[in-house]
Amino acid sequence: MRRPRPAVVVLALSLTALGTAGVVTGATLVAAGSAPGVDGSVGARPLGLATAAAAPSTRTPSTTPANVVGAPFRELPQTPPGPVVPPVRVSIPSLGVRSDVVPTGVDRDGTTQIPEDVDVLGWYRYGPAPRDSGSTVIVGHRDGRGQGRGALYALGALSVGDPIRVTLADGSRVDYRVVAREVLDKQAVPLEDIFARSGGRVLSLISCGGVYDRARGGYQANVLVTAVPV
Amino acid sequence: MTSASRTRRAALLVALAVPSALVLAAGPAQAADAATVSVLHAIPTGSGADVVDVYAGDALLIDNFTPGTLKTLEVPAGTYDLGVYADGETPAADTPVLEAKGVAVPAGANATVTANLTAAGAPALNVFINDTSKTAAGQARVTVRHIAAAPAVDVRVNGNVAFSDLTNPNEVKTDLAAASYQADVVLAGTDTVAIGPATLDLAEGTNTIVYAWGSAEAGNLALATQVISGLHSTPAAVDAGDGSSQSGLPGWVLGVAVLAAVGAAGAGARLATTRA
Repeated sequence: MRRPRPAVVVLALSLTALGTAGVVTGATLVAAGSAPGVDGSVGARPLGLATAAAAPSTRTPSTTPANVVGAPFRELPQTPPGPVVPPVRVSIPSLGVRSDVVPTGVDRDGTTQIPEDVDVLGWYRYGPAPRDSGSTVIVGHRDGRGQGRGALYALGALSVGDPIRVTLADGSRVDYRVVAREVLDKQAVPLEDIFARSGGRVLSLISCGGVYDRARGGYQANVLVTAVPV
Repeated sequence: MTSASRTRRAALLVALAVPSALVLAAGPAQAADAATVSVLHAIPTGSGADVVDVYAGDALLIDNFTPGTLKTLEVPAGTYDLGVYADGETPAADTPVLEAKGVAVPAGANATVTANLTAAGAPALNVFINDTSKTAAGQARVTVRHIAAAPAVDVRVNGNVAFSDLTNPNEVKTDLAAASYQADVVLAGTDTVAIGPATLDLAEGTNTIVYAWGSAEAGNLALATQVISGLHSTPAAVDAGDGSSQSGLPGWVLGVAVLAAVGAAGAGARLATTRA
């Protein structure tokens, strides 16, 4: 069972006083990370993306009595968010993909906004950028009426070890290699991991896959490729 | 310390009507025994509290605290006697400028204590509970707190009254799309601007708390801002395709076929075959 997200939030604020990360966290995320794949899944996403760095769920008991006199008050640093350098281009040589990336957000129905142009990819701008901790999420339509196949149509054909290069707005580049490719039933997509704003730096490329069933909301699966900086 | 300033300080001493067990609402799951407490110095310069030290019991919480500054601390859960002392003075030897006794801070609480002026201009301590519940993906929360020596106000956002008739020491809040907004504070029911306009950058997944503080009479009304981040949620899903590449058919045709096949047996299946 996954811990409620608010715990992560609060713990992130109070990181340094909290001692070591507990083993329980890892175990929880093993379960989450191994959500049943429909098919075509290879490799392994790094476990504990959402919480590895920020959220010990267990810790050594405080030796300080919860009392007032002499209690160890600790000022929390006021850390204004650093400059975010957005991704502007993704290149996946093994698929012949070289696509522009635009910032995207959330649609009215609460789902991830995806560029209408299937040749253009979307970067979830509320989450991390490639130089930040956590998961940089880049999405693209698998297909679009009148447009044919999208840039990420063949995402499911990527192999572990394949290189991905992301170019940022300042012209710099971040090189990744694929560590996992998963086809996940939409009910089993680990959104908390994919959209993690803390933890190790990863790139999460997402499109659709599986069976297209309009009556059940369209594609029944997401193809998720996870890559780590080289 | 001069006798003049001592007199001044004595005049500021306020016996707060704090219930013996003022309990802050606990937030969502948090560390076993930690709480987050912020302290805002919102007594304007020249009111006799220009540089103060804040104590919890006998322990120094904040040293050399000056007007307009905010400190955020992690504290063990517990019950605290908060005291605001003139710079360099101590609980052991001196009388506080302001105090609040028996403030219970349970594990998981997130609160802000403000040292501010009442509407009438007297120094006071107030405790506000910060809303750290999750925000929907793409949304931000804004909280406005009136802690100024000033009458009721309206808060206008992008030119329209968003909150009306806000009085000291109360707050209003709402969730809205994360974006940059223009905000100002006007005397309630008027277009007389008391503070602003100011640009409010409401970041996604944050609670941006705006304090209106200072004194209208002294002409030093101002805004102070506290941002609590990490309240974000994930989007509901990633729906990335319309099926138009499947079977070489436009998505809607395939959709009709699937719908028909699912919705009916026998004749229905034949219909689907015909359409496909």
